[in-house]
Amino acid sequence: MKYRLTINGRPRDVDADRDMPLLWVLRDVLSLTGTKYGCGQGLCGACTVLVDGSARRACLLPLGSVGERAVVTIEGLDATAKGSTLKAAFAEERTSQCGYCQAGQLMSAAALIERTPRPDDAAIDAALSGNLCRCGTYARIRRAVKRASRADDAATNLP
Amino acid sequence: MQQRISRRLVIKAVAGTPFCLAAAALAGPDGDRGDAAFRPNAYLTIAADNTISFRVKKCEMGQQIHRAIQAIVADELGADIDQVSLRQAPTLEKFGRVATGGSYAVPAFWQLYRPLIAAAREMLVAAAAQEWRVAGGEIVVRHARLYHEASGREAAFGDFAAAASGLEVPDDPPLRRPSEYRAVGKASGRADAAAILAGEAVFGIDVRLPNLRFAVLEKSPVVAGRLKRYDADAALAVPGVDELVKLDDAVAVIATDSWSAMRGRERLAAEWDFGEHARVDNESLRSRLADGNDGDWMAVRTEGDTVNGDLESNVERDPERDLILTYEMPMAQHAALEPVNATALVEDGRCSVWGPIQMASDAQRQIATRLGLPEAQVTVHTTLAGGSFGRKLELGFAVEAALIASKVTGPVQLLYSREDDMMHGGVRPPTRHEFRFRTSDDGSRIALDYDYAAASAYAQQDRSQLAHKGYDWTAALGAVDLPYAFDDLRIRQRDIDVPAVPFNWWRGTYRNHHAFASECALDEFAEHTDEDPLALRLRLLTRDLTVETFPNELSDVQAERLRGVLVEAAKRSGYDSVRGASRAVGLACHCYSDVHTYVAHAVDVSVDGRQVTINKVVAVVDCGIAVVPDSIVAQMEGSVIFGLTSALWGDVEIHEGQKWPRNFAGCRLMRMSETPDIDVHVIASAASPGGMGEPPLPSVTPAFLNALARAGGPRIRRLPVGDRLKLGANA
Repeated sequence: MKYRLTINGRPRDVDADRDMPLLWVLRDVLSLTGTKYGCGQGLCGACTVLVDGSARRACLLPLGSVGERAVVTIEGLDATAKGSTLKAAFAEERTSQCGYCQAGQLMSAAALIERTPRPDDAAIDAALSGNLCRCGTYARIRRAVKRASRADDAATNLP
Repeated sequence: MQQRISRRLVIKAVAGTPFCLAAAALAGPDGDRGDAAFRPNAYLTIAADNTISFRVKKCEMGQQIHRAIQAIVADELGADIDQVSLRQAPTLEKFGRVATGGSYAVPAFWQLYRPLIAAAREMLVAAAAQEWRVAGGEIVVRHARLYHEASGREAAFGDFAAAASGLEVPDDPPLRRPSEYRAVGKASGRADAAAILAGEAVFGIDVRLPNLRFAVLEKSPVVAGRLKRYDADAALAVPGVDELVKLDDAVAVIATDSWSAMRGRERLAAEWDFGEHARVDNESLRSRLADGNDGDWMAVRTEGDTVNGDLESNVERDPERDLILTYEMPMAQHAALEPVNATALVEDGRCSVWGPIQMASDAQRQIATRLGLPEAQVTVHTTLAGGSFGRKLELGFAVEAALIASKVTGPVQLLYSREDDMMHGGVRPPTRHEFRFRTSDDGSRIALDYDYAAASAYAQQDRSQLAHKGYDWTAALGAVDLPYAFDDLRIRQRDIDVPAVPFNWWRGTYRNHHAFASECALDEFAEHTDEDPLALRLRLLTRDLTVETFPNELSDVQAERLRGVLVEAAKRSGYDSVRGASRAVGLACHCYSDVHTYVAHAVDVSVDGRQVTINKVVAVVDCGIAVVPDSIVAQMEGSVIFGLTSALWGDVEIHEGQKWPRNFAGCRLMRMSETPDIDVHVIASAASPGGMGEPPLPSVTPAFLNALARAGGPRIRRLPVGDRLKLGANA
């Protein structure tokens, strides 16, 4: 069945089963492989995308339910208000080990600082609690989100 | 201190490095920049336009060895780190063996490849010296340029690429001195950071080729189950499903997308004859490990006085005074976030495979055999891996992808779902350890009988490896090099072969098992004899040790370095001062001798009834030269989380021959909110760089368990901690 999606600001037409999770539409139909598969059950967060600004697990989102809501993937993160800032902060804090969880972590972080511009540690932990990192770089990710959320502070003294 | 070059490393080097005198003989597919390029060996290419590329044979899975290799090459050559581009080496003969494991990438690279790079540098200098008619010693090399300061002449490496190509490769070029390091010990970041954060880095699962189709494989959930029947028509009726491929007792469902392939597989409704292996469960494994008559006891190490070859102990057994302790280490999943996968294309008598494959050359060999192709017609390309921790040592998924592709047209990506990955992957083997500490009447002498039973990984994967010692030598790592100087020591191993459960090495291999058991046992013995555990360790770490770890390879344990990390961890954690009725610091250390890295952990916990709070973890490492310092810290940090996760919740349940859980709901991993405060200290050292993928892990668990006991919590001898304790919020 044909669907028109809005992916990273552009209309994309796909022809696939309405039950196909958005994750596989992105990865296999549109070859947007930045969004990752880790579990298929919404347990690991690797597939996190933004749908109208909210963090959603693409592996649990059937194609037929997406409609023309704005979907933002890691490939489109730069176009969001804090996207580049977040990526720069992650790079500064050297968050990546294997790197596989990073896209999902970034998307969850983007959703967080959109609604909570100055999250404290507890808020970051809560928002990213569904993003697993097997390599264990959580502390760096948390610092990166903090750094990004304070990047516009005139008073911030970033090293 | 000169590090001994082990025979293992030499063999790998000879196999891997054609050290030809005529540079022209090494032209090959890397000749894509034209004849003017300088290729002194199979790995390094310096083009006329001064672009430098180096073929790396290692699989990057998060241990950040690519950056370390980049730094070592850059420094030895005389270029900036970002002037050196790494390219992954596929399994072409000229590159020799392509394999990653054992945490030895950086130690081996340091020993074996610096001379190759230094030779290239010397050849460029010689070419410039010839042209400029100056002495080579007057030429300085920096930023991929050559400078003759006296005359003001300078040139880029590329300007002398052609000239250098005509020179002989020197046999024994001088290596850079530490004072000349600009990247080693200083480099940070990684070349692919931006790509990863942009979602552009290509992990195995991201490989995309024109006309790529996707497959999942229906295999028996019990080892060696036979496929009785399946509903091909129902599977083929699923939209998106193209065709089925039948392998031995397995069916591949091939579709235009991964999800349709998975749906098609569900419709197969495969029926199995599970066979005899359906009888195995956790209890049957535990029983075999506990049954001293199930297998032969083999001597691993014996120290002390012997009479006619039999250990004549100075310290008599005394049931009243002996301390007998038993520890059990369960199975565990690797649970890397990227499940295994491989993409294969077979056409015109050639097979190409792409994937997060650690043992590419071994995969090439097996695929060639299974497909009936000459090895030269099979090429395996190693991609970035989304974690491995040992999972991607296995070859099965790569071979399966090739087999499937050999029966269809066009490229196919075989994807393992999370459930497939956990159901079919080899797990960390279970073990059981028994310590019998004996003390002399006056307490001055200590004897240890250390017996352990191990489910053997090599018994399943390569029985020829059992011939060397008569037992699985990998299961002795961590026991054979036990660093403590007991007056009498007898270490014995008993293997059990369990065909019903697939085993694989897990990050740190059996060192985790021995470190857990022996570091906890030592603490218990200290408590039993009323001695401080740190004092006991320092008292027993009095002499260096040299033992055979890998076959025909000797590894050193330097007591001073192990004492050093232990003392530092104790100091930084306030080991002596942090002690209350319900709070304490526990210590543990481990020497990963075959890659000469020394680690200690000090874990500060508070226990309140059944709740444990991890206040802080201090992690100290002496890895010799820290090539990329922050990546060393990162490995230490990550290992703490990995180790605590395993101690707390790591387990595998086997019911009727099938492994559970199969997804993260039942396989609990530590989350951001549960991350304790981790303080890492890297000891400054000029020793050769050690390995860092695995060495930071083994001492995490026992340090935590020792802390629990010292803080008034339970003494855990059988992992995982599980429901016995709840992890509280961090202080």
